[in-house]
Amino acid sequence: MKISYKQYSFSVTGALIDEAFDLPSEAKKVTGIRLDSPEETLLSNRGSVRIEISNREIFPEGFPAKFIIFGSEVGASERMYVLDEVVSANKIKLRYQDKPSPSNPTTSVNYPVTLIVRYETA
Amino acid sequence: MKPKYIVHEVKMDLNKVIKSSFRMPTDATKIIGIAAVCNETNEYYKVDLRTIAEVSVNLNTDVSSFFRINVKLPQARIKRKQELDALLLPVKAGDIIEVISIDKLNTKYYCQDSFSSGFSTAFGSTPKFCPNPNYTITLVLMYA
Repeated sequence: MKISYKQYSFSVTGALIDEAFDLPSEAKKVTGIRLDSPEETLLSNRGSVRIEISNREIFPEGFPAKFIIFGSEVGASERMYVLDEVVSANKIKLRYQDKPSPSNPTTSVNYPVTLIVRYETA
Repeated sequence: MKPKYIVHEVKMDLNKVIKSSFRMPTDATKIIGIAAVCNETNEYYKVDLRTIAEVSVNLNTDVSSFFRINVKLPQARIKRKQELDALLLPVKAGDIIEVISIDKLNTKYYCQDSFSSGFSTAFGSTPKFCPNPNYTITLVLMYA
């Protein structure tokens, strides 16, 4: 068993972003997930996600991105939301919603987000 | 037993008590945990089921806005203390979870009037205008 990581990047350019990513064909189980962005405050206060792995909903619509962000106060090896998802279809679907927050009320923003997936191979 | 989540959003309003509720879905048997986040702070807050269940969060201390959110769980279903210690609270489909939220301080008054002392001294900073006190609390309930 080998542990690997895969990064998927997308840009938040509107209120709703739908993305579908291919997991590597050798991925057998997803064991962790997290979001990252150089604009961490925007991601944290404005973002929510729905995430599906192998057609199974992991986080429902509106799930705060804040729960799957890990800052520098968390040890590098612990910056993952732990999952235990057997990969049956090599797809990850992500719906990202951006909503204005009190500190960032503007409706037009543009920031990059990275989805990081930890997985096991056979 | 894989966890599932319920997301419940509350739009806060100055000086108003916001009451809302939601029902547990048909496949729910146990509440595993609850947490709350605010779209104005970078932290999140776990709710301790053993205290049934209250979280009190300090928002923007230099602007003096506070919120308090109370989550009323179906206490009648608690049979043993161990269930709470393990954060496994039995529920059944249709159980109602009540959420009562309030902006604890008089933010409107504080933000609109110029305080010469009082809060400014208490918070150790010059009073500011609150940019937008209508923030959102998102409650996430994890169940199995």
